[in-house]
Amino acid sequence: MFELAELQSRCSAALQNPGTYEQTDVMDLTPVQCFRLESIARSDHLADAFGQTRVDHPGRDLATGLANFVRLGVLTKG
Amino acid sequence: LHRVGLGLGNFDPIDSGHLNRLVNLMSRVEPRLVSNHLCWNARDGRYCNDLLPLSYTEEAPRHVAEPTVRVQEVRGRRTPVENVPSYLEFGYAGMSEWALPGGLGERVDGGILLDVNNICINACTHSPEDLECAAAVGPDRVEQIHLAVHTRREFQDGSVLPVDTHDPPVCAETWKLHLEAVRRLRFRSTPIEWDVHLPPPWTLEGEAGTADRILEGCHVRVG
Repeated sequence: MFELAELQSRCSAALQNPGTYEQTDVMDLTPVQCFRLESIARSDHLADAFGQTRVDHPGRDLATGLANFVRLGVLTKG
Repeated sequence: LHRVGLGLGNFDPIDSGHLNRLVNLMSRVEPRLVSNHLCWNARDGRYCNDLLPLSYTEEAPRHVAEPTVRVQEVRGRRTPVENVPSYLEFGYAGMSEWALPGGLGERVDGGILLDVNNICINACTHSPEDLECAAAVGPDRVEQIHLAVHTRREFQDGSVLPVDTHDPPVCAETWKLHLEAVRRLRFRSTPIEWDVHLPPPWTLEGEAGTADRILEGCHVRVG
């Protein structure tokens, strides 16, 4: 069991670095079916509309990362 | 004024510029209600524009209490937090999803914004027990109900993912849960969230009419 800060660090790293999930030991997270990839594109729109502070990565890269994360999770966690 | 980007559950400190803009916006529009999502969305300076769930542990409400108090001090009154739709869950959970807003509410005398659509999504994505847990929400803390709809996305293997699209009309299962919420909570202001593909006004009037009939059916007087 990780503390909340450590859990968020691992989750954040996993979401932003496709292909490195095993190295970051992120499999302590249990992905359930899938993430809402559509919402990533939608939230990019919201970020513009609401003037959200910082977006350090293109949304599509993040969506790809999420998709890979989910794929890896489904394959390894069943 | 319904916030999506404040990240009350973040470990990164709340961006002071972001908070200042919120203060300016509140002074301009003078909202009746300011609400946030009970989630995190950034870590180590990296932002994910999504509503990521907190772990359901005793640590979570303790952690969220301080930023919630700070925002409430800026606002000068309660800023209720909304239950989020979640598409992942962490390996360890020491309590139910609903113990989190409940525990936070007790710590900071905070309110809850009950999104019945998100309850439906989590019940489908995780466990039907979430519906029963939601019934344990303290009625006095619920300040508003949100209605919206999810789109059911089907995959080749037959699995179904409810996506929080806020697009098509409110579905039957969300109306059913709303009926349960009204029976328990009586009247609460209830916006219908519709983000994209906005319909003609008469479609929205139809949705509002359905909500009114539910209130009438429960003999609830609007006040």
